[in-house]
Amino acid sequence: MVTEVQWQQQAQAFIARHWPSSAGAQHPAAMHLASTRWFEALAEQGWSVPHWPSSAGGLNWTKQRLYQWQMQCQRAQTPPIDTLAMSIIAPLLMSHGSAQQCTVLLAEIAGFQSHWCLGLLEPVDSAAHHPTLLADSADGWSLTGSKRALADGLLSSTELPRDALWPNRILCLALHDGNWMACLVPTQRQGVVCTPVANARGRWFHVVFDDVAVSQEEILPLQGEGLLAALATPPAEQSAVLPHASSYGLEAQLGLLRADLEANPHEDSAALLSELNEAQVALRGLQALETRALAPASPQFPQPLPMSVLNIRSQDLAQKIGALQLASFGYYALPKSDGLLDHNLGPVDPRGNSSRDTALLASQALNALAVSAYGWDPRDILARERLGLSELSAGLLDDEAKRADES
Amino acid sequence: MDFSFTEEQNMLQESVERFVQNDYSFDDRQKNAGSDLGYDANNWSTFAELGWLGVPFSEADGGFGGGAVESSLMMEQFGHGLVIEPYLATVVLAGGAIKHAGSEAQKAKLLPGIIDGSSQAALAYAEPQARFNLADITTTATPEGDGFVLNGYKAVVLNGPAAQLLVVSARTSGEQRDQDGITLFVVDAKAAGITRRDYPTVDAFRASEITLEGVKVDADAVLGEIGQGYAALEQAIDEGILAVGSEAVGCMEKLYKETVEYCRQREQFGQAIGKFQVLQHRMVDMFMEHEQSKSLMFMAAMRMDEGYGVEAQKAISAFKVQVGKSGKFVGQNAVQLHGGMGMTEELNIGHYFKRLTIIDTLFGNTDFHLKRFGAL
Repeated sequence: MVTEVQWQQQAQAFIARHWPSSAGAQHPAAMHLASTRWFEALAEQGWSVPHWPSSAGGLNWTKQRLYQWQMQCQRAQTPPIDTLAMSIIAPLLMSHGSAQQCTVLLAEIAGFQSHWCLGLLEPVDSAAHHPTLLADSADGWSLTGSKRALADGLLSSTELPRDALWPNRILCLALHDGNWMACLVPTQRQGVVCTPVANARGRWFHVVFDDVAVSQEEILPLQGEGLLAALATPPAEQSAVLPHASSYGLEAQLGLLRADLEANPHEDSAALLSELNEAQVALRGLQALETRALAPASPQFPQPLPMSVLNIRSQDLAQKIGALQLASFGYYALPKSDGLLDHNLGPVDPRGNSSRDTALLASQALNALAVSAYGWDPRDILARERLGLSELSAGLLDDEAKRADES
Repeated sequence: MDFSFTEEQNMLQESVERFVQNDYSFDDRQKNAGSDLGYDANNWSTFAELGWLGVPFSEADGGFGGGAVESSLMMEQFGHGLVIEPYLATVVLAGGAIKHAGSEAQKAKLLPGIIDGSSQAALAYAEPQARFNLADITTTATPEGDGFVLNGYKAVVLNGPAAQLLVVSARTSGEQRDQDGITLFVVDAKAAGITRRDYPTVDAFRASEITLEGVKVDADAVLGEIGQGYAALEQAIDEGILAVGSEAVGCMEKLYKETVEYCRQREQFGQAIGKFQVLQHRMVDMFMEHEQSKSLMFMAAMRMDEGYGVEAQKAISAFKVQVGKSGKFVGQNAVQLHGGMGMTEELNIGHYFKRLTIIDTLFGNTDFHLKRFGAL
């Protein structure tokens, strides 16, 4: 039986072995290589998805152990591992996928072998008149239409090699006889054309389906309203998602920022330090919320803390720190670290490596915005599930539908 | 650090919660707030019978042996009911100063009366010019014979009208803002030379302006060492911050829950206003502000129980900053979502908001504690 202390030592040794402490200061190409090796090591160790149940290939770690693991990773500034596939596709499969889908697809996700994109929405110009359709065909099913699909692009652009960005699977929402169905299709399938959307940094893809053959096994068993409801549940509320220990990463950012401000005083330093103190208080609030999220049920905490609260709060703080960094770095907030030319080895800023921090924070902020854009605003979910306003929301939608029908 | 609680702590919280829910209606509270005394003496006796007045004192002093966590649990429940009885002033502030600075003999003499409910007390520390600086003291204590003579003016002394016992901070040496040279004295509220001007505060509590003119006290009125009273005063005030902050957390919970309930019921143009997404998001933000404040409350309480020092002080100031911001947000939105009736005397919402507003100012507002946090 491994004690908690022994386990923490194992975790620290694993990180030290597989993630070079100088990785953050390396050239982007070297950084990408280190990231790839890190992901491989995680997959080999079986630690890529420790939060999954053992039946799905995970380790059934407790919330406390997951938190400790995240904390260690954040302290070492390892690349984030909660990919879109892990946080959105996998929980959906675990709850609603067939046995075969789970066996094949979850193993791929856990091994970082598949990169998914989410095809929920049609492009704006065709949404009104051309929903993607799934039709019966002699050999099975046929998919026709187009989607604007969300991928891991932005996150990956700083952490993964370019060739790993391309999504090789898509979850495509399609209509069959007025019933919503989800197809889990490889993007290399004949009839699928996948094109990155311009200026989206690899995050959005335009995906066209031209009479694409889909087998029965590639269709999620869950359909109709149940499917829409499952997709409307934000990933953060699903049990298979990692609890966040984001305060440790943010604490490191704040420490760097304070050191930078104290080492390079300028005429705005006093005002920025005051704002930094505010951020520090907000950080304590986030740490307290993380502690609260791990608390056992008691009269003081009869209900668990929704993960959305942590997400919103860490997001707020990340944005605040990002703004402070931009204000503090001045002109050195401008360089784009992953866009450096090959002969520009090392950080541009002679005072430190601030531009990479800025890019990471920006990507964190935009990740959350993208999730909101898909209708997963965590505040909607909290209103429904924590404040009991769900039936009211549904009622409103019914009312609106009724009024639309009448008009 | 983890947020798990002992059986005794859970029982204490449930006991206070039951009392507030079953025996402390808003109407009774308002009636008592408007009475001559300003609170219900029977409630105070009940607090004593249930042992609540002895919670923060050691068992050796006749108390419950509780710490900051117990105090927070109680005050949070008091916040739910907007409890008007002077627990903060008597037990936490004056009792706290005696607990930290007093000799064994002084504690044996003074604390039993507080614990059994027979004695009301107040901490007279603030002065008009001092703003939130505890060390800014112009009240003087001059040696005379075997004792001292006090002269000066104390502002906004909470529970001043009911107090039989005053703990007064006075300068025995040093300059006006020096932390050294401050001495705490226990003074009979009816001593010759003390004049009081009593008034209600905007949140329905009672306070006094107290003038001390040639007030003679014996040497045994000195709490602790002469000139070394600042540390005990600061600790008592930090415990007061934790207490009112915890009360604010209780107020916020009441406000957000009542607001959600109101928005589920209140209809406009044929539908409940709780259907509107923009209002739902506001209520979610109120809920989150409460959760964050409550989490910081326990973090600060547990830091205090680990030992009073810089880390505990930082935790207290961070908590006060959070409570100030969250209280304002939750209070303003509760009033706004209730519409005009949120401001009426008849509805409790505005009263909670007033209390939250005063709590932000008590013992240093958000700006003050942000600076203190940064300086520690």
